[in-house]
Amino acid sequence: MKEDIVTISVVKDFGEKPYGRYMDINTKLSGEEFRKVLLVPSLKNHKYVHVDLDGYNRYGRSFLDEAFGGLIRDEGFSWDDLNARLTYSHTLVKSIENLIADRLQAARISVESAGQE
Amino acid sequence: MCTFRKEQEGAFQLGESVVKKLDASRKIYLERAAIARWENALKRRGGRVNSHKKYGERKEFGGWHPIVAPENINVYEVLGERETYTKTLEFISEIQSRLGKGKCYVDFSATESLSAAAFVVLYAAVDTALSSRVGKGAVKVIFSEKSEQVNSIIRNYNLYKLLTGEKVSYSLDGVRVMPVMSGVGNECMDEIIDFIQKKIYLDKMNAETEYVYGDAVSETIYNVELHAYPNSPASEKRWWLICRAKGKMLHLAIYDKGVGIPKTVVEHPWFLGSVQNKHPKEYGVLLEKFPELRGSGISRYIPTVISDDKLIYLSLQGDVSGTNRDRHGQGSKSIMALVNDTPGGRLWVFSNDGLCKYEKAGDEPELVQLPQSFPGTLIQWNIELP
Repeated sequence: MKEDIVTISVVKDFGEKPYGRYMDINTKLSGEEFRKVLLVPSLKNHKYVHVDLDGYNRYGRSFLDEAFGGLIRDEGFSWDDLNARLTYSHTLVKSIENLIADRLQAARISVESAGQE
Repeated sequence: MCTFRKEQEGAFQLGESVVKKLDASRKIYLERAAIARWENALKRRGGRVNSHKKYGERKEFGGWHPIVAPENINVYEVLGERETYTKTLEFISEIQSRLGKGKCYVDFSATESLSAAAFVVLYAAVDTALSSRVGKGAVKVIFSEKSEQVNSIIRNYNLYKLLTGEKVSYSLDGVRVMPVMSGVGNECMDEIIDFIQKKIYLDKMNAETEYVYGDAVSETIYNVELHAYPNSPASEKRWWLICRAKGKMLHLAIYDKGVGIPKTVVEHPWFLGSVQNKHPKEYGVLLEKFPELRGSGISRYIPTVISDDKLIYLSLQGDVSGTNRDRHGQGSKSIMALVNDTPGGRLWVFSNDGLCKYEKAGDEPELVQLPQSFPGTLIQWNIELP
């Protein structure tokens, strides 16, 4: 892992109109695809990752939940690890940043509860 | 003759009618005059007034089957003396079953009003019934004799084109009024939000509001794709959308002809927790009846004790088990956000046998058991414009 920071621009590096949750339902530009193709490799290869969400204001909740919450639920990252290494920003829509924080927290609770059960 | 009704609060009419009440005697006088004119017209044509033929009745003519629209095409008035819901759905059902199977004429001559929610359901029925038609000629349209505004709606929102087999375009380039839009997946989604932003908000929509709209529309059509048509190929998971600004209100409705929310909500992993939380009594009744099904197996029996309106309400709550941890059930939060985060927001959800209405953010919804099953799901928001 490189001791550096990498920035991913959703619009420039992934697609202009991200939409939906699963790759098998909507094959283009889903949250799952963003996570698997860009986010997970970046987190594995770089110490710090920043996701720049600027350039699109119409992200659906499913896309954001699957892209970010899925890191904890499906990819095995811990909330603490992501809290230390992953940052994200949307200059104009703070609700998007708040929603990502909320979905990471929900995924953390989900995984911890499943562990206890 | 033209009679007018006070618009039901929360509902919206496509035609902006001038409200003018006719007293009873004037109404009777006008009706008698209309019958006399009809009888005279028949005599002039050499016909006879048959006792078995009633005024207003349409007969098959030269092999053309009539489908007669009711006076008020409106699904908002579900209960009470002015109930228009049942006649509207019967009309739409006849459209669905007869159109495309021989020569038909759709007769709007007696129609006085046309609501947007009913219009999009009607449009979808025509669209699907005629989807396999080749060329023009199998359908004729008789325009309203009662309201020019009904006629302009039929023309401007592309219903006339659809019925008569003309090509319907879903491009919004250069249009003043957004016609009914239709798509699969997120087709046209950005064009629709662009239209709302540019033509309705006049480029003054801030980024946070744009996000709330984008999220709600995106999640609603994604729900259609994910849940509404469980056994259909992706290309057939179609939705229809109508959007209209009227004064200071924006009315937006998305419709699908899928299996309905009550059928799919029971499949969600969070559903049982929500039932325990919101309907402990009914949950207890089920456990008494089926103790062997304790656990998720009981979900499929829930519709036997909880009506569709309540199941819609539960679906809009999403995961209310306390943790909000499940990945699914998130779309409903986006649907509710468009009501909760915009001033004057209202929400109506029709699906199968139920209707759930939020008249004010934060209030408990009004739940209604529908007198006749609704074909699919319609989600409608009313939003106050700045």
